[in-house]
Amino acid sequence: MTTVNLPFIDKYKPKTLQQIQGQSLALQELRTAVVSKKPALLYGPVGSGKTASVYALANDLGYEIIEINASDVRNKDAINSIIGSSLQQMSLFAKGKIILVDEVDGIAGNSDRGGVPALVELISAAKQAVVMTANDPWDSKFTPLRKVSRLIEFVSLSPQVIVSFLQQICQQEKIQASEDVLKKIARKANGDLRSAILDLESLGRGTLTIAADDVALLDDRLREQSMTDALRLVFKSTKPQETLQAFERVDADLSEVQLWVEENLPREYTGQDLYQGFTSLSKADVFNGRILRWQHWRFLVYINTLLTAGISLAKQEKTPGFVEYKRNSRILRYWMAKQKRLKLQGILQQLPGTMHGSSRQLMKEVLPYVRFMARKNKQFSFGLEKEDLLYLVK
Amino acid sequence: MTEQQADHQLWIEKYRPQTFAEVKGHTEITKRLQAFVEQKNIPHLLFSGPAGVGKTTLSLIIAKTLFGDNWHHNFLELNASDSRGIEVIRETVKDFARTKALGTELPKIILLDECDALTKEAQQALRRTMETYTRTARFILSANFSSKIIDPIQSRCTIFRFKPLSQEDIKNIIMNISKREGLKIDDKTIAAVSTVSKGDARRAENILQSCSAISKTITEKLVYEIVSAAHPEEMKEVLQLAVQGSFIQARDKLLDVMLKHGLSGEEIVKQIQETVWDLSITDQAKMQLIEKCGEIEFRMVEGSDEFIQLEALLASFVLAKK
Repeated sequence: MTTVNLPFIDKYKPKTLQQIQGQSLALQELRTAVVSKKPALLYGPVGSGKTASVYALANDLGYEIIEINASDVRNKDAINSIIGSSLQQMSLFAKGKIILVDEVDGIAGNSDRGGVPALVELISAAKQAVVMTANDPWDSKFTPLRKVSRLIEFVSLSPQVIVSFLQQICQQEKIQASEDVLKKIARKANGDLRSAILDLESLGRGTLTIAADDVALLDDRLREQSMTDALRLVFKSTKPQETLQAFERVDADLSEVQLWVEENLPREYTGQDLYQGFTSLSKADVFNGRILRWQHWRFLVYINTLLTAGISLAKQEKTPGFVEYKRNSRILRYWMAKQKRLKLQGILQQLPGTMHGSSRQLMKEVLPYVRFMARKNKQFSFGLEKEDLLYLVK
Repeated sequence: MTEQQADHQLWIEKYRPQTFAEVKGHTEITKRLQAFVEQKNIPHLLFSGPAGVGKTTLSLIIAKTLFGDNWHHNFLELNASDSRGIEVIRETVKDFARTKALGTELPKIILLDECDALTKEAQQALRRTMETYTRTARFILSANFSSKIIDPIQSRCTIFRFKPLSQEDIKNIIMNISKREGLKIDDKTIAAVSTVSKGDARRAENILQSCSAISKTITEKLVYEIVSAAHPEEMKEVLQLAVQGSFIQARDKLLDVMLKHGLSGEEIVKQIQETVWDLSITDQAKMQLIEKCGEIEFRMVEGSDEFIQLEALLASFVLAKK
């Protein structure tokens, strides 16, 4: 075998519709839609084979695919310039074309202003089949899309289907794994064949047998693993240019990357390096704000550069030692703090006599004193329920 | 002292003035407001001034004097910063102002607190609402800074600017409460309370009541102890941690402070910039840091994640020279 180094996920990509299991109804509908050049919206859970089916079908039919995915620019101008021209003309070599708009969920209400109407417009003008994929097509912003396209459902894959696919891979790769082990992987994947294949690969590469215990090691850490590898490259590398692509293979968008960098920067850098690093982050965030304001998505290039080479260059020399990276919990803390504030505001409102004044002022100017009194003197219970009083005092 | 004494009411409510005569300080403002009430003709009002000087209290007194026992039905208190969005306010106001006032021909009164927390767009919407219901309702807008209220609203309101209460006013409040609650307090301690409350009657009353939770005899030491427990110098601790190079702890505490008080990034920068002078670093370093505050505030306006900008600011404290 010479193709050993291809990741399983690419190596075992279905070449024809026949290799796709568990979706026979959807595949039939998809084929009909594409052949009759009707726009179709494929929906269903992650890893159920939506995108793979389109590629396999194109292969079967000898069609060419023009793909746009979520990471591409999605507002009206961008869609027009990317696929507008290709829709009108016929293909030179292929027998036909499929315009694949992957993950339309990525079109956000605000940030991709005009994205949905532009798609609808292009679908109606299209001379070729337009196929879109989505995880949840029922969002109200997709109503216009649903009206003009045929909805085709991809079901969540059953563990049996996943196991049988994994068995084929094991056979080809000469990996020894009991059916029990494969079932465990399949169950964990929860209908997502892609993640099952990734799991199998991370367990099976290099070893020839997978024991039952190995599966227990598998959890969501795998996804974090690729993130921490990328972070390590950025923080440790002394060749900034090498880091530019660091996050490309990570399954996370730049705003998530930014949170990871933010959380772990002070674990790697100190002093001047720390300052420089945060300057880079701060500038990246300014570009973020500009993207939101002006819809100029090309600024993403600068954000990526600031988050990779910018961070990498911030250090004067290579930082020694191994550092454990942590997940950023800031967003969660916002939420928890809000719940806590709401609860405390509720308690303040129960104090005897109508409490006047804005609740912000009450929180700032009254709460600390009420808390102090309740802590110091049991008589000061203010007629509050025991539970509320305890919450206040703690 | 009997057990009845523990009536569990906060003194800020118990001793809130109920009539114009009971109001301490603001003689001019009180006189003019009283005239409005006597003529039974209240214009839209804008009260600006710091917390705890009597803006809400005077609004309540206006309503109570105008409507008597029915005041509850004809007075609506809304919080601009809570209600999150002008839509909520507009709906509530609409429901309230749709019906005529109970037992009187006068317009109802709506108190809208913290108006300076509203965005410019929300204030525009508020202006339209004020005009729409002007026959059935009059607004009292309250704000810390009148400069944050848009001109079209200002020009529709009679503006009253409240100053912090004078030391003398606060002293009177303290003596009155001490007498009624049987507290022992000497002149020096009264002076201490009025100094730390900075013209804020609410704070003075809260401090007194907190003291009483510990002892009926109030000492200067007790007052300071309570104030530092209630208003710890959190920002100074944050910045000191950063200057010492403990960045992770500093930012953790900063986020804590921000979330605990529900502060915006801008408010935090303001606090940081005010606290810089209290740090033990060189004056040159202080100056540089304050300039940095300005730069960060600017980036905050342009950027999308306030906390990242605050961290960048905090990181520059790590470099400050002692």
